[in-house]
Amino acid sequence: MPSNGTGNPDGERGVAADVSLAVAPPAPHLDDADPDLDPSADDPTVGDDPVVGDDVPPPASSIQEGETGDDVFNRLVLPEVDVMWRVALSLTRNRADAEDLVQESLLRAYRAIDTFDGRYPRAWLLTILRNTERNRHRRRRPELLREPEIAEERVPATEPDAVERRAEDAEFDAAVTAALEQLPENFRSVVELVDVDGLTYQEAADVLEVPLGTVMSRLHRARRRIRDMLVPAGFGPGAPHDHGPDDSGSEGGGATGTSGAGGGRGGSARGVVVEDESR
Amino acid sequence: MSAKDARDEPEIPLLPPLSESSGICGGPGQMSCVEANELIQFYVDNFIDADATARIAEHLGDCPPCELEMVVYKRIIASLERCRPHVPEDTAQRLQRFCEDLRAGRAQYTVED
Repeated sequence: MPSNGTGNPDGERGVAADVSLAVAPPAPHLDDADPDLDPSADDPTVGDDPVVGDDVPPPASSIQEGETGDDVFNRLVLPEVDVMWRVALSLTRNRADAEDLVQESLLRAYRAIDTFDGRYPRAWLLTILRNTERNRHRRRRPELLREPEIAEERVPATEPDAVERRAEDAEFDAAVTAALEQLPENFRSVVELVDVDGLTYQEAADVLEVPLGTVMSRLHRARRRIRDMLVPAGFGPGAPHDHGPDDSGSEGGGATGTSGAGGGRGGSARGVVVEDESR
Repeated sequence: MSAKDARDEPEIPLLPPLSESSGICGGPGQMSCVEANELIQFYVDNFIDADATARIAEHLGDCPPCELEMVVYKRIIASLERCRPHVPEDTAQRLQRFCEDLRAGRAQYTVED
């Protein structure tokens, strides 16, 4: 795993975490076989004496001396529950399933808390969430046919501050939301995770299990398509002037000057990933 | 989307040579509209280096159509962020209670088969 320096000091959308370091936790108590999780890890115990393995370099751990598993859970996991729920909603597109997924993920995180080195709690939890969701897919496939409720969840007018927003913004938001819902799943999920849920490119790549370059490629194409759909809705600038090949299957980070944004994880920002489902 | 699908996606060269640009902007030594358009989302995401940022900023200052593109993308992103769902109060309470149960050793999760 190469360094993920991005030349992006504030890291707002940069690569925030080396998520490959986030090891899937063991789930020794679950009844179902769980091949994605490491079966060799010890049964975590929660007590007054947190056990940090010898293989975890102490300087890299954020676990403080004397912290119990509960302390770590409270300090590092609880603040991420909202993010976990939003990502779960994006993955399941259903409130009941999202809540269930978060609960099961929290349970696994709690049981594995003593194997967690304290670094990148969000990446660690999202890895747990992703693996949990994958297992739920396996054993609950029929329920996936359930009608998605997400469109209702995301109607901006339900936001508390909606009344204070200018009508112009409300109309624009409605058009954007409608455009988002029309995107193919692969594109929509990237937009939801990055722009709606607020994940970094790298976090989204990890959740979706695609290379970072694919996330950027899809994100940019998806936004471009949202932009194009806004024009007939009365927004947007119309056709861009002489803007070459952007949406013709060759979008992405071919731009000169991208500062190593790809981080080398399965393709740099310049690595163009063509997706055949573009239309 | 699976990792397998990602691997199946072929790579092709991205851009035609800049000489094919019909951009009205981009004098000698300046960024063309084609180049600016390729960079514009990296720019709004603050995901390009300082040199490229300076070059595209210079272009945007001279090219109202490209600047409008940039503004539209910023509006779209801001709009999407406004769509961020808040955890419903009842859900938040149930999750909080679940965490309390975890810590108290009371949590039970029944795996459905």
